[in-house]
Amino acid sequence: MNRKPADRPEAVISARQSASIVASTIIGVGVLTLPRGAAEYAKQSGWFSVILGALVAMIAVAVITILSRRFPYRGIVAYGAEILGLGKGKTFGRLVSVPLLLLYVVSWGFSTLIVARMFGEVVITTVLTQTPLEVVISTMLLTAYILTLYGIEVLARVNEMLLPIIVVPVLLIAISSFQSAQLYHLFPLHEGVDLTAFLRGIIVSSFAFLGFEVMTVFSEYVQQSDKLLRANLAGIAIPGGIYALIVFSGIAVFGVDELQLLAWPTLELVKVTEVPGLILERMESAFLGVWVAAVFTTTATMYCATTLLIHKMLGLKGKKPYRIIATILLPVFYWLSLLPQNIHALFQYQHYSGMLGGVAALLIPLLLLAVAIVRGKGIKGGGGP
Amino acid sequence: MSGAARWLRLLLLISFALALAGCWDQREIEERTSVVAIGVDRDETDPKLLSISVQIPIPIKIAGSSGGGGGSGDPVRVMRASGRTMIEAFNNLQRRVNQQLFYGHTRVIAIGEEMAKNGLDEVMDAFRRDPQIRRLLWPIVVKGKAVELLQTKPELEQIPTVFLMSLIENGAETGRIPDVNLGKFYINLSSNSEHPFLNYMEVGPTGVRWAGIAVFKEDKMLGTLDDQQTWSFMRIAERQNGGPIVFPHKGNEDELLSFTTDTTRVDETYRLENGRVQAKFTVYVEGDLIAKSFDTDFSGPSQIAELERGAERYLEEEARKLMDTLQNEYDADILGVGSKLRAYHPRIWREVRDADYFAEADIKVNYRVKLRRTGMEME
Repeated sequence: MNRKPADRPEAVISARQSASIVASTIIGVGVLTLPRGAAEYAKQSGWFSVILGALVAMIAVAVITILSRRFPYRGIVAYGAEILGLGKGKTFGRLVSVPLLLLYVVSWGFSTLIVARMFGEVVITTVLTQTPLEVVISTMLLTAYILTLYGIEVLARVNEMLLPIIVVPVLLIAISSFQSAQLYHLFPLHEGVDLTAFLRGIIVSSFAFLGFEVMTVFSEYVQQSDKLLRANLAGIAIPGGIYALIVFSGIAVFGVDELQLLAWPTLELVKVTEVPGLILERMESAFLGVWVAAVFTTTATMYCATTLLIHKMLGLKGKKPYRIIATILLPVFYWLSLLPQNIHALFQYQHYSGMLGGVAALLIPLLLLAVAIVRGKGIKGGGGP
Repeated sequence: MSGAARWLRLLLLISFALALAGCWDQREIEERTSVVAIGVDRDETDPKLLSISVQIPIPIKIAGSSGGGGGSGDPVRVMRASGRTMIEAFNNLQRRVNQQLFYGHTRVIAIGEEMAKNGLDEVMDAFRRDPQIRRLLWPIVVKGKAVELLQTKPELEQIPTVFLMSLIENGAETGRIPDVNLGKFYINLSSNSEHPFLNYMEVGPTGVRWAGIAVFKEDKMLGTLDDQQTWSFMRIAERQNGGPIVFPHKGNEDELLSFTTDTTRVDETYRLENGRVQAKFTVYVEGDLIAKSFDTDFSGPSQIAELERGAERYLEEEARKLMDTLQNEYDADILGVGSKLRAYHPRIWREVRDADYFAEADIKVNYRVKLRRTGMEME
């Protein structure tokens, strides 16, 4: 395969930014509910299933990164068509890859609106009880829309900048909540959990890491370098460590029985945590402030990825059509996000979206990579610029 | 940039600025009436109704606050209302207050004894669902009516709730009062290997007094442990100091010794024998002699050892009485024996969890007392 420098897009995402996008897209609404979900299937060993879930996600992100190394400066639309195509022509490959790509569109679109809705629900039940849900959701979607308009380069920088602001406080909370932990809540490690339940626990936990698959479409803009794989793996390891720690504290503080009664376990964790010395007695407001940033990076990245993918699929060029697509998506997202009738329906939707995302994040890239290796497409062993 | 886009941008900016103000939920601090304590009772006239009482501080009456009239009159107001459910009672209360009642600063939830004996599920459900109610506040069972606790005037603090709060906080810090906040009560309530307990208070002619703990099974209060029993319980289960112990020297009721205690370690072993749990607690206590009411020489090592044995015998006897009450009278596992079995001895737990494991258990408590100091006097 010859790379033609002429159609090589401008590489604007550095390896570090790529890792930031992976990490801060993952950290979102999942932070608040994960302890409950993990404990539901894996009981006391919930934190361990989260670590295993992170390893699954690491495999998936490695596959995606290796794909992007085989096809540098190309996104999934381009390399999908090439891998699945017949001979020199790309039309067949395009046609075959359309259903796969549609799956991505649906999966990311759903993630965007579920995250926005989940954000609205939390804000309304905990802080702004009088504010209509519509207002909270539309503010979040509008902000994400504006970031999407500015394109991939700004998105990458915002993710990079917000990541430490998200990571540090969440880490502090997980650590300082150990004050009220009880060791015996964490044992026995494998009681009352059979293997299938534990495996389901791993799968559910790995859903919490979804979001990194946006790199399949962003890979077109990523500077190829040897550091990329390591950076992307670190992008999973950061939320992996945070999530495992939060689930660990959640189980240690509440115990498995109480944990399952809590709608937003991490928020309750924040509520029982006092920073020593009464510097901040009520951390939940501070935490929610930080958490808004975490949700924002998720929503905006998903929004941008959806828009970009549709843009590429339609074979459009230039900023204007991209912006038009983003604008059309806004009311669609808004309308769909208000569809779930109640919070239980929403959690159900989240579960389905997770399964869809799992297919999009792990199975499809794995399939594409396997076919690419068998058919000898792309650069073997990857290549630098 | 075209004109239309410029206008759109301006419109967006303005709408964001509006959103920043917090629009719907914006409420000034002086438009809020903070509740510092909530009391829950059964209504005297109609036992089917719940009666809610709240303590509201009146800022202008609190001495030292700016604005005239400081210090004159009662700095708090206690209001009551009844309803069929918690929410109905709170709403009936709200109808009598000019401003929105705010429960985010609530520090004490007092529950009347009768209410607690009838079961707290309904009460706790309402508190659990309300985002304003925090997990770090102090729930208390009150002997008699909860409203009486809210109405007391402790004099030492202007706001009675602050008095109650610091009473418990200081007690919990020094290990004399169990540290049971609402969060811990919830956790014990939802656990199937442990039973909950709450601090128990009495309102008497001399004021408010901490009087031990109220023992629960599920959500129903069974009875109480007095302060001595509670301290014994705390040494064994919570590794806290408890209060000082006073015991007769060599069984002579006229010769009293006073020790402070400092629990350093508790060793627990559990075994299963003939389907009964054999639990053995060994409590290591370090103590100081702080007073004696008679004259003897305690300087020799054998005398010290004798004092230590005396304290051990006394503490073991106390623990035996405690276990008798907990196992035979209440059958409530507030010690958390079940939780320890579940966590560290899952094989035993699997066998006994469906049976009456706690009442059947054979619980032995041994003390190892080390007398470290005898105070400022060398005698």
